[in-house]
Amino acid sequence: MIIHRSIQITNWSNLLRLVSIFLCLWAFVACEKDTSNTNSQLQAPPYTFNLPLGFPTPEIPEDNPMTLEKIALGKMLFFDPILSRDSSISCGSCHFQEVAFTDSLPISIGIEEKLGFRNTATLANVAYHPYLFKDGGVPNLERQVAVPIEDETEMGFTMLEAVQRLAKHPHYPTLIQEAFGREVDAFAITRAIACFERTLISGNSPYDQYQFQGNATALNSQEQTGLELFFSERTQCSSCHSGFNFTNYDFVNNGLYTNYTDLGRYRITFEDNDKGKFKIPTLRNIAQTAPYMHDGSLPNLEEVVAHYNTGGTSHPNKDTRIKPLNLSAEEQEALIAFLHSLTDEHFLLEESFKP
Amino acid sequence: MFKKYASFLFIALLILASSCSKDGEGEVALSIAPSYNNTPFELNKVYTNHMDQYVKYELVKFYLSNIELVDENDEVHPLADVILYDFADPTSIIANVAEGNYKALNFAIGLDSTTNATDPNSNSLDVEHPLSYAQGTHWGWASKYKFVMLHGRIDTEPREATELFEKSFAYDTGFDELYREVSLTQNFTVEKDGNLDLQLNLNMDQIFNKTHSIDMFEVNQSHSLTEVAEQISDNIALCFDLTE
Repeated sequence: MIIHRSIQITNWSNLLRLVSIFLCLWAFVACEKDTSNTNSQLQAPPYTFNLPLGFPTPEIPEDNPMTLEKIALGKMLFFDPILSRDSSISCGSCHFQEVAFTDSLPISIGIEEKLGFRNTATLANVAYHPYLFKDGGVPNLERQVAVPIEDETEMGFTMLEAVQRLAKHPHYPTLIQEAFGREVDAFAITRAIACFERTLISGNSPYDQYQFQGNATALNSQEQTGLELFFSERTQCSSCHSGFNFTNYDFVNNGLYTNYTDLGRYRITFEDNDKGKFKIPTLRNIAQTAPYMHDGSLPNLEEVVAHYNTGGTSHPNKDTRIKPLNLSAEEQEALIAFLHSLTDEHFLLEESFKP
Repeated sequence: MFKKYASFLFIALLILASSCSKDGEGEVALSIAPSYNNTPFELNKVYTNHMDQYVKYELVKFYLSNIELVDENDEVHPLADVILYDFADPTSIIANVAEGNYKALNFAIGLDSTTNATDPNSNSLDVEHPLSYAQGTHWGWASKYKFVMLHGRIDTEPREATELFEKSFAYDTGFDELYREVSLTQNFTVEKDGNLDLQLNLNMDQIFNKTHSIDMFEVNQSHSLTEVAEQISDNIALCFDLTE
């Protein structure tokens, strides 16, 4: 491959001829601009979020405005194993709606039964995450799409091969042209799937009905006790699991291990004080997304609460808020009951998320 | 109507401006020439390294960026922003620069932090672009590019190229910390309307034995910011020289 920085034109008569022809052509097209790309996005029905009370509008990247066509295309791609090398694995193979788009496994399994790296995260409210993955290595949803496609233990493919395969598909070239006004490429694939994922909003749990919708009976007394414990200074649960999405997205070492084989945030920053730190997950639908922790090592909420109640193990980076809570059995049950109240059945059954 | 006339005028001015020949420029062609023990380097050929281990390279790729010439007045003249050199499909740079006397070639191995944060799937990169997803040089999990990729086979016993080697080696260096700037001093002259060929030589045999001596058999993999990746980065920055 040769890279030319500039071209010199030295033949004046040829130059003048070229200019004349160019100007004539320009006269016919001067006021026409190529609107194919713009037209597709301008004319496509825009998507309007129907947000739960207390939820802000997610940030949408300038290069990927939401349209109904892009969302529909993104959903199709999300559930299509065509994006894996052997056409066996789709995004939906590890993200099942009925368990809040997780897979109920400690570690996900990819093509050829290969074991992945970490526990699958929920996609509920993923539109709000300032970065993706438990170590925060990816800055937005658009860039996240390519990662499992190209991971040899997940979909085992490359974006280039995925593009080439989709370009030969009987329908995708047309769908992408209609949604994006362009041919099949990595831009269209990543933007479409990101658009679909941004629609996965969850905010209608019994807790939401109680807290934001004025339904005083949405939580029973045990759940209300759990709510008070959750938001108390005594437990400090809400200092990490805060805000409308029950996470402040910080990276925290919760004392799960004394020695971590997966170093978490350190993989990105290479800062020693980031060893064993992982992005705080949302607690929305948490009762559906077992097993827990970055490696899926805790099978149920009882063990999770017990872990925090004991204060975890010792590690130099363990967060100072992780310490023995001395909760009684009754209090632990109340806390767990409250966590169950964060389940949004509507989200788990929403028809528009289904393939 | 006004738009049409404005377009004519704009185009006319553009043509006038660009059609004036740029005074005092010459063409510079910069090629990259890897060698091993002072002979032209080849893929899939068995070499002996500094530890008498038998190595066969199957992939040699690296990014060079911010490539520029420095003239005798210390002014810089850009040659290229980013290239991805792949030994299997070599890249040369051809550019027009101002005539005059030059004293150095500057470049970086890897990408600066801004370029390293580029989205390979973005709208602005066509598939031929060195930073495009099509190049397969991106660590998606870290949103960073691989700077230097050296893959192959290694054995402690002599092997023919077609034989099975005991181990593979695969070094992918990257992350902002491993960006390395290189300045090669060399006096040369660019003549007006002339052609100057420069050759950037890469001494492959020294990549694992320069400032740091690396045991490729014992430490045969790196896919992040590791100690061996840092050592390779330090070494490779000293493995280039420039000839006319």
